[in-house]
Amino acid sequence: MAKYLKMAWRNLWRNWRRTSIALVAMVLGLILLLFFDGMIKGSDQAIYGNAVRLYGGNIQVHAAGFRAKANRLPLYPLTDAGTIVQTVRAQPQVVAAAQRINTGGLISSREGAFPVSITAIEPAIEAPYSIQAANVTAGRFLLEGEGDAILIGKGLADLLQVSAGDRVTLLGHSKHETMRQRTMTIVGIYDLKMPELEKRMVFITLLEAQTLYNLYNQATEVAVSLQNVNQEGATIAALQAALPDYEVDSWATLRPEIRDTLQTKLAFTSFFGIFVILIASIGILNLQLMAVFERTREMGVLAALGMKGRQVIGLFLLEGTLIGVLGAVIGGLLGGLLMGLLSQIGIDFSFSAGLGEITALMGDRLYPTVTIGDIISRGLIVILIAALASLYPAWQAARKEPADALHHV
Amino acid sequence: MALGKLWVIAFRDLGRNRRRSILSLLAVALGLALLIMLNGFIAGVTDEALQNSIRLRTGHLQLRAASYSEEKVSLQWKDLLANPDELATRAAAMSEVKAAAPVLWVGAILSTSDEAVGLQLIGIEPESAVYAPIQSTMVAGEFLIADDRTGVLMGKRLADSLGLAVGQKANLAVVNADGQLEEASLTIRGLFASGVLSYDESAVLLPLARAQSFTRTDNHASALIILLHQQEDAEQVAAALQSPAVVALTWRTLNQLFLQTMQTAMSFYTILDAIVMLIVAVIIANTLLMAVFERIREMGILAALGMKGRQIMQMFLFEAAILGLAGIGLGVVIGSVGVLWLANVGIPIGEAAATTSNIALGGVMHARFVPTTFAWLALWTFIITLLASIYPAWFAARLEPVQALHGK
Repeated sequence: MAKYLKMAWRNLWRNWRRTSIALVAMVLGLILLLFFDGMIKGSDQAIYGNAVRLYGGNIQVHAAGFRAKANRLPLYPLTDAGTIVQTVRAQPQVVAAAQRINTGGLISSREGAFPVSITAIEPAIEAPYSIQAANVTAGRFLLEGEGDAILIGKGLADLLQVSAGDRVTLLGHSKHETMRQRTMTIVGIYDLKMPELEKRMVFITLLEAQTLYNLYNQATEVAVSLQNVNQEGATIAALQAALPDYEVDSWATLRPEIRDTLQTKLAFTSFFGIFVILIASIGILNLQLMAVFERTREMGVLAALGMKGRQVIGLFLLEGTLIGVLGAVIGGLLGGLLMGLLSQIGIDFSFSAGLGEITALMGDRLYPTVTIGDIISRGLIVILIAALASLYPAWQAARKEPADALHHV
Repeated sequence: MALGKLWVIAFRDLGRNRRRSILSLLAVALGLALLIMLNGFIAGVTDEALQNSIRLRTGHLQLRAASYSEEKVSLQWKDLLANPDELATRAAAMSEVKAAAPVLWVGAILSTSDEAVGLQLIGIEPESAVYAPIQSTMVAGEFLIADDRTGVLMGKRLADSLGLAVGQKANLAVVNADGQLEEASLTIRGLFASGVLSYDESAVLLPLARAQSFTRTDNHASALIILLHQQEDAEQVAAALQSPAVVALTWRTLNQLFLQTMQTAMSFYTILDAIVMLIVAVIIANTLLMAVFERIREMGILAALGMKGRQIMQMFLFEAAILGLAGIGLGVVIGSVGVLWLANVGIPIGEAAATTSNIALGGVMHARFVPTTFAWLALWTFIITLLASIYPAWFAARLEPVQALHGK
């Protein structure tokens, strides 16, 4: 085997120009594939990371039936939120669990009225984990149990032309169809540099929401913060077992449309990338076919010396695979380097913020990421395609009659 | 040597190793086909979304009060058009204008017992041709009539997701021009399915007069929506209708965000185009380089017979040209078939995805034929093919006759 490897390697470099050019095609193709992967994965991470940070909680517990209508924020009260919080806190990974009420509403000032989602929180529990609390730029965060107080984002404050201390009218949907209007004081303004998302979210205290929206001593959600990200799966499974009558979700299951969108993109870009590699493999096919013709006499000699057709096939396959391996290694290195660089610098994506919630969640800059696993798996595809491309030339080479081949000019 | 003869030699040379030539040609063809499909697809999506937006949301031209802010959906009288009917009559009198109708936009909340949805309430003049596109997509119930005081229309998707049907009540809440909460329980007269998912999920239509009384805006309107016979007339009509108090916005300005985003995205796709072209170039260079090595002795003979370096170079360039042209021909055919398929079948983007984005798209994206772009791509492919052959051609031309004869 080592001997074949040596022969194949030498054969590759007998015409270094040709081999290098074929390599360039493979390397470009692989870099392109990795770039796509990085973009998709980077936006996936940014979207879920931002969703967790902005909306709060790695995991949420809701009453049955919530998941199906999650984007409408239905007011399905949890029958015993206190017990749920106790159960959740018993889990080892959980650092905090807080009750919430989420409902839709309209906020208005003299400037106009804007639909918002109202999140009612327990400031005493959430303040240490809340990204909004950490980014209050004017005024202060909500205080436990205070009434007629509202925290809004900078994006919304600009729109309403209000500042901390001003009063706004909050119209909220309460249980059983009625709307409740309430004049509230803006106690603080948070600034996350995501105006599009800030426009949609306001915060009040849980106690206030319970009285306003006919949910005395009730909550519609228990938001759970975990020690680390990527532990959602195990904790969800454990919680779901402990709370069989409720729905336990992460952002991935609660907002499947985000994943759907990314998956469609992934399918589309993968198709594009594979197509490019296919074109590149034509280069290898060409190269190998050429090598076969060029070395017909050599094949004759090898065959006359007793080399079997099977072995000739092996030799040519090995040469093709070697180009693939080389391409995969170089492309993987260059692609990994490029992605590493881009993951530091980021790509400006601020232009897409106004296009909808999903793009707004990506943030202003997209930081593509690829893992070693991605590089290896894409590299293997390149090697496989390279090997397949040399199959036909190898068969051509093996099928030559030794005597005829020897007479070939 | 006559140029014509060089062409013949070039053509014959390609035929000597038919398999290799066909493979190279295939690489050119596949590369170009990919580019054609990609660009056709992008053009299709952009165009579809833009036309949907013009048809359902923005119209070709809008007249608004100078202080009106679309983002704020203001209802204050100072931000609204005070004399929309007068403006409508003036606009409708112009020969370029197909239809003109005042509209009132109101941010509202639609609630059922457990849910509340923020959406846009749109006060329309139901009999105007501006709303013909919606009227033609009615799937249940009746379209609105102008003096209906209790009826609304909504998208079928919105109604379905809230469990509402024709004849049932929709509870709507708005903040009126005076900043006061107003609520109304209106009857769903009909459901439409425009195909643009975000519109079908977030628009509730009611007669303008009812919307005005609901919000205490009297006979004011947010804007006058104008549809033109020719999209290109927008600037000209805008100039004619503009006055200090009234600004005229064309479809270009109204869809600026979308158009800008597409433009930025285009620069990204241009990079993709370039990479594909580069790979095609590499393959062509490879093929020709091989052809040069294979025929080194032949080159030596030709040189010994007096063929000049320039001519040898020309011969190789001709080979590249023939490969390129044939590849482009095949590529255009494959690409067109692909675009045709993408135009008829399309690629589903997922309903949820289409709904959450502000782009006016249905659940399926379609490609479109853009002959000019395709022609440019073909031309570029040809140029790249020729450029890629320069090195092999130069390499061949530079060979020393004596050494070449010895096959070195």
